[in-house]
Order: sequence, then C-alpha cells, then structure tokens
Amino acid sequence: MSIIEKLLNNVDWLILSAAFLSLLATLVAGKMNKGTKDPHPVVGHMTPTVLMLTILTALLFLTWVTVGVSYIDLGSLNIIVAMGVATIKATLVSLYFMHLRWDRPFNAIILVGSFLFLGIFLGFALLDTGEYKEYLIVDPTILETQFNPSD
Amino acid sequence: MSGDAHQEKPEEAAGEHGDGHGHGHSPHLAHHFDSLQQQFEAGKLGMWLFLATEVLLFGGLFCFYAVYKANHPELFEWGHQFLDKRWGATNTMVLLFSSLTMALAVREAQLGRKNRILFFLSITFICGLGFMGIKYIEYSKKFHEGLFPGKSFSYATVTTAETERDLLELNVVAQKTDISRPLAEVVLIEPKAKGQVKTPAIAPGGRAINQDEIDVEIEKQSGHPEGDGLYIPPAELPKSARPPNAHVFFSIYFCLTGLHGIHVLIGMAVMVWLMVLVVKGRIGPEFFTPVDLGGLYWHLVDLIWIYLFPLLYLVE
Repeated sequence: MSIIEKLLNNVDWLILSAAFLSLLATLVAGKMNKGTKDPHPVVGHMTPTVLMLTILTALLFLTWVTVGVSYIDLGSLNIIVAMGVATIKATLVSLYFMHLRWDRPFNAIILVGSFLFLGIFLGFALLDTGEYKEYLIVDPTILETQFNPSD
Repeated sequence: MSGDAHQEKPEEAAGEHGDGHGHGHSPHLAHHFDSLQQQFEAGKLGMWLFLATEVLLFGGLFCFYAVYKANHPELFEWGHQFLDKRWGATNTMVLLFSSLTMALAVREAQLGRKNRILFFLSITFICGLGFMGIKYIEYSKKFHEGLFPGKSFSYATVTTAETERDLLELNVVAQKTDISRPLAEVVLIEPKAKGQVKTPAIAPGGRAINQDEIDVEIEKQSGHPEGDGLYIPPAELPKSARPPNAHVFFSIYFCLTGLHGIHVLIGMAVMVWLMVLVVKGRIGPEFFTPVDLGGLYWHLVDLIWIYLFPLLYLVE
C-alpha cells in the first residue's frame, strides 16, 4: 500500500513519464513502420498506428498540464484553462480516435449539433439562476435535524 | 473526402453466397444496401445519432452541476477536497490508454487479424476493469466516511469530525503556547490567499503559531477509522468551513460518476460481446461495423470523463 501511496503522491510525474513512454513508443513505431504502407481497406479509413500513438502522447501531455495547473492558483483562470485543455483533448479524441476527420462531415455535424443544443440548454438554465433566493432552507440546523432525525 | 473516393469503387470482393438470387456480392452485404461502404456509413450514422442522445443525457446532469456551481461555488470548493485527484488522474490515464487500444482493435479488425483484435479488445476490457476497480476504492472510502448522496448523507459523521478537529486544534495550540511567559497571547494567523507567502508574525508577548504547524500536528494526532462505524479522520476534513446543503455536492458527484460508471460497465459488456463475435469469425475487413461502433461508444465514455475529471476533482 505504501508503494501505491508513494506513486500516487507523485501522480503528476507518473502522467509525465507515461507521456514520455508514449512518445518513445511513437518514435519506435515510426521507425519500424518506415517505408511500409497500410493496405487499402475494403471499407472506411484506416488510421496509422503511429498517428494514434502521437495522439495518445498529446492527450497524456495535456492531462499532465491540467493536473499541474490545478496545483497553481490562477484565480478564475483555472477553470478556463481546465475547460480549454479538456476541449482540446475532446477534439483530438473525436477527430482521430473516433475517425471524424475522415468520416462524412454529417457525423461531425451531429456531434457539434448535440454540443450546440447542450450549450443552449446550459445557457438558458444559467440565465435563470440568479433570480432566486440563495438557500431555500436557510437554517442549517433545520437541515441537520431533517436528515438525521435519530441523532 | 477520401470516403467518397472508395465509395465509387465496384465491389471486388464479391462472391456467391448461395441465397438463390443468383447475384454475386459479399456475404456481409445486406440486401437493402448498395455497397459495403454505404452499409458501413449507415451504421455509423445511426451510432452517431445515438451518441448525440448520450451527450444530452449527460447534459441534464451537467446542467445540475452548472446551476449549482453558479449559485454555490463554495460548496464545490469544500466538497472537492474529499475527492482524491491522484486517483482521478490515474483513472484518466487508464481511460486514455484504453481508448488507444480500442482504436487499435478497430484497425486490426479492418486488417482482419483475429488474434490481434482479441488482444486489443481484452486490453481495453482490462482497462475498463481497472477503472471500475479504482472507482470501487474511491466509492468505498466515501461510504466509510458517511458521504452518501442526498438524504443518506451523514451530517452526524461530519459534525463529529469537526468537533474532534476543533478539540485537537485547541490541544495543539495549548501545547505550543509558551506558558513560561506570563503575558503570552495566542494569535492564529491564517494565510489569506493560497499563493500568499506565509510569514510568521510575532504575537505580543509570545511566539506566533502558523496554521500550517497546527495542521501538521493534527495530521499526526488524527485518528484512523476503526470498525464498521462511519468515521472521517479530522485531518481529512476540508480546511474551509462547511457550507449549508453540503450533501448536494455528493449527490452531484455520485450522479455524474455513477452514470459514467454504468456506461463503462456497459462498454465492458460490449467488449465481451465483440470478442465473442470475433471468435465466431463474424468480423473481417469487409464487416467490422460492430467493432467500430463499440469503439465509438467507448471513446464517448472517455470523452465524457475528460470533462468530468477537471470539473469534479480539480475545481478550486
């Protein structure tokens, strides 16, 4: 357990070393696959292994950035950085792992459309939030007795 | 678009499939499609429509999160300190890696290499298992601390821990106070902002005690959970004051991660189903749609975690 604890306490280094390992795998795979060409698939598009490994490397580096930034206090910038990095990661996953880059654009329109409607949903819900009393049940003691009647 | 390019190609892999129609085409091609490419793209379109509904399903819970966060940011600042971001980060790595192996499984399916598809699918499955294992560790810790969602949330346990912490703090301050000086006065200096440099101040007639010093001492003297009773070690309590409606944070946490966890479980079941299909020989370069669509599902689960992790574990 103590080894796991020690590893966990250095999770940022763990992510960074995973990213470098992935980078190494990318380079090795790139060297090994040099000159070879993928056979033409019967249907769909085939993603090269090296490209996928490159994407994983980028994803791990970005994860390291988010975790690293969370230890630094940037005020309101923290959430913007975290969400921005998450969006870059989501874009990479959907473009390359989910093949959207080579798919018919209609599939991308569906995904972007779903996010658009999610945005409308969240936006209108948030527009409304400032219009109410802060707490419906003001007194915390009422809340406590309500949830723990036995104590 | 390169996709259009190979759609125009005539089916070269056509062969007799003995259905008595007397026309030759791939045995994998259903009759209502013109070509394998069209069949593949139709399946994908359907999957993407399903994924859009999944995004909106999670959207309801993200809305719950956003509205509550806008109204009560202090709730999240307090609650997120109960979550272990080290485990969260590890889980992110596990899911990202499993996304890679899933994408590789799709690639191998396109190449029709049976053993390699099975290998990558099982790695993906094991990663899912690892993710759920880590979830189990995290959830069981919350359950031992009485941090249940909604009505089951044990305020009593949190209050006990808070009282215990206050007592410990008093004791530590008493220990550190220099009683040889008659006019010694204890002044607690708490850093105003996290990034601020903590300079020890001198209290009149005595020495200053940093909050950090007290925290270290509390950490040393803090108890450990014994038996089956609900217990939070006082050192693990958030430093900030507990906001009212504290239980709502755990409702949000368990709803979001729980729904995501259910998706991971379904994804793992899909992996097993895909492995059965591969063993039965149903998957090949001409027909790998199940692997591809299963992969899309798995990547969506990964995509949602990419947002969930910073929103729940890293908010400040």
